[in-house]
Amino acid sequence: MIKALNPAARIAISGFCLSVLMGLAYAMLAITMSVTGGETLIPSLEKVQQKYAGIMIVSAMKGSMYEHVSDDDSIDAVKEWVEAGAPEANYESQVAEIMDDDCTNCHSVDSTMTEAMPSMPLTTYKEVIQVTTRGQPWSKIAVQTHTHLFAISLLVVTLGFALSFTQIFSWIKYLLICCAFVGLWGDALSWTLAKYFSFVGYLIPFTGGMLTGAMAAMAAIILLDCWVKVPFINEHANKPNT
Amino acid sequence: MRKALTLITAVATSAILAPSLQAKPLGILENVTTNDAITVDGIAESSWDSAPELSVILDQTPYKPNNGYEGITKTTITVRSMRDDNNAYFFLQWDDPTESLNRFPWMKQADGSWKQLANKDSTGHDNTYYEDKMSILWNIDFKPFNKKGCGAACHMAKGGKQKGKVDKAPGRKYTKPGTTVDMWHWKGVRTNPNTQIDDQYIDDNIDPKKNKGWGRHGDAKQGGGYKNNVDNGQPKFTQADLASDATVIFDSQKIPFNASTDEIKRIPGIVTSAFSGSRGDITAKGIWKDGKWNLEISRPLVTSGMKADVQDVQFNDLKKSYAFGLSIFDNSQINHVYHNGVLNMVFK
Repeated sequence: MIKALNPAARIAISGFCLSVLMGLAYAMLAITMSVTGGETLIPSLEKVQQKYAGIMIVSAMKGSMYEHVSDDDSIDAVKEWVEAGAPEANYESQVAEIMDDDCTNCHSVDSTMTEAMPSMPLTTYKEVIQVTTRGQPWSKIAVQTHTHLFAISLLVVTLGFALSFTQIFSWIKYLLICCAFVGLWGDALSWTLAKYFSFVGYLIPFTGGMLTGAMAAMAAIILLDCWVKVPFINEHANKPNT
Repeated sequence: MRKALTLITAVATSAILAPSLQAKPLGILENVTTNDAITVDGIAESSWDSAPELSVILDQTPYKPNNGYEGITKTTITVRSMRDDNNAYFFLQWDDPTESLNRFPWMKQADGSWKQLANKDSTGHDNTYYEDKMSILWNIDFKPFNKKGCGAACHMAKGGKQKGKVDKAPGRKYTKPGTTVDMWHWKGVRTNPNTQIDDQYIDDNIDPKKNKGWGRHGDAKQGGGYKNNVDNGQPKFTQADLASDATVIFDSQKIPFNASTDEIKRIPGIVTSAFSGSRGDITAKGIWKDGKWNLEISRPLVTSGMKADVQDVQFNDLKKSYAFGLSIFDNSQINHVYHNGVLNMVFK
């Protein structure tokens, strides 16, 4: 039982749980910002799907780069061009001016603006075509997936281990631990699958929600169990504290 | 217990996630009425205390001069606004640790010759012997400005070219066909001594043969203005009783430069007089004090000069919001510190 530990150990566990809860809140904030570009608090399902399964440049124009897009019609024009196979013949008439107006101030190899992105130039057809694929780029998926799996599985196993010593119902422990791992695997695999099956992009909010929800619930239960009896779901709900 | 937990969760979530609610526009300036007389002198009257303050962080710069840049790259600017029956007033303050007014001065050399000090970068612009400036852009009818602010009119060169034309400048300002943006350009040396802002505008011109400043133009004027004080490699004019730290030669007091004079060691690089006509619509005075510029501005709510409808923003509908953007220049010819996004002014 966690409550049987000495106060120093319980303070340490509590600090860990609070850190996890704060980290989750800021992770949600970061995800929201990357999807909506700060436009709204809650991203729409469509925007999340676009980010992970949509055309890269269109997703960026709808999401994190939205504040730099002059007109929503520009997004539609780029999308139509990409969906038509991104023909080079139409680049100048359909896309080049949009890139020039909204993107290339920062996205050019010689840009020295504060937010310059010289590593991702968008000044020519050959450069723009690189960001017309669906889903996240492989370079990003590879890094994001393995770090996500390694780092978050460590957090989940730590939380799960601590949760196993709490006094809540055992079935809730099994459920939360399983949800966390299923959510983690679902989240990570969805990034890859969404490149090929666009509907998978719609699942990402649910797998992400399953993971973060389970982690938050575990951290909150452990935190409470360190110091008080967890209400409603405690195996000893009707018994006095020991 | 359940209600209490729900409430705590809701409050904590709101507090943590509140910063993500990035409002569009970036900020709202509320213009309020005043019945007091406002003297445009860079010193805030007590009436300004009743005007709500909009604070904006400026932290973007367009380019990195290749000969160095010692100016600020981040500052906070505050702006307040009031109006009476005829005029709109603005009071702006921004942190700038140095008062820079030494714009291309002439210095007498040991051999008796005169040299105009300059330190231009590869784009032909100076960040050493220059002046502090401030710019407000007001949208007139350029739609992208309403979302992107000044950035909508900013076009950086790529590979040394602008719109396919070789161009040394790092960037140019221009709009889309048939649209304009009003530009209030306060210049610490060239216009401040005349208690004026250089009233300019940006249009759709992308032909440097028509206008070397591309889309940037001065408003129509009847007279006045500033000129470089140069003639065949030496100053053209000087001024009687010229102070050693004078920043300009006043046109009304200028006298021809005499190379044989031995009393003067430094002569300003600018001859200036107040604009008349639309270009002189805006009264403004900046005072630098304790590491901060204090700039007070007055302009008629509605202007009536030549081409005022396309060159000036008209505050003729107090129910509308007016899109604008701010930037400051720290001793720099074109490298300015600005914000992304747009600001709006509303009349209360």
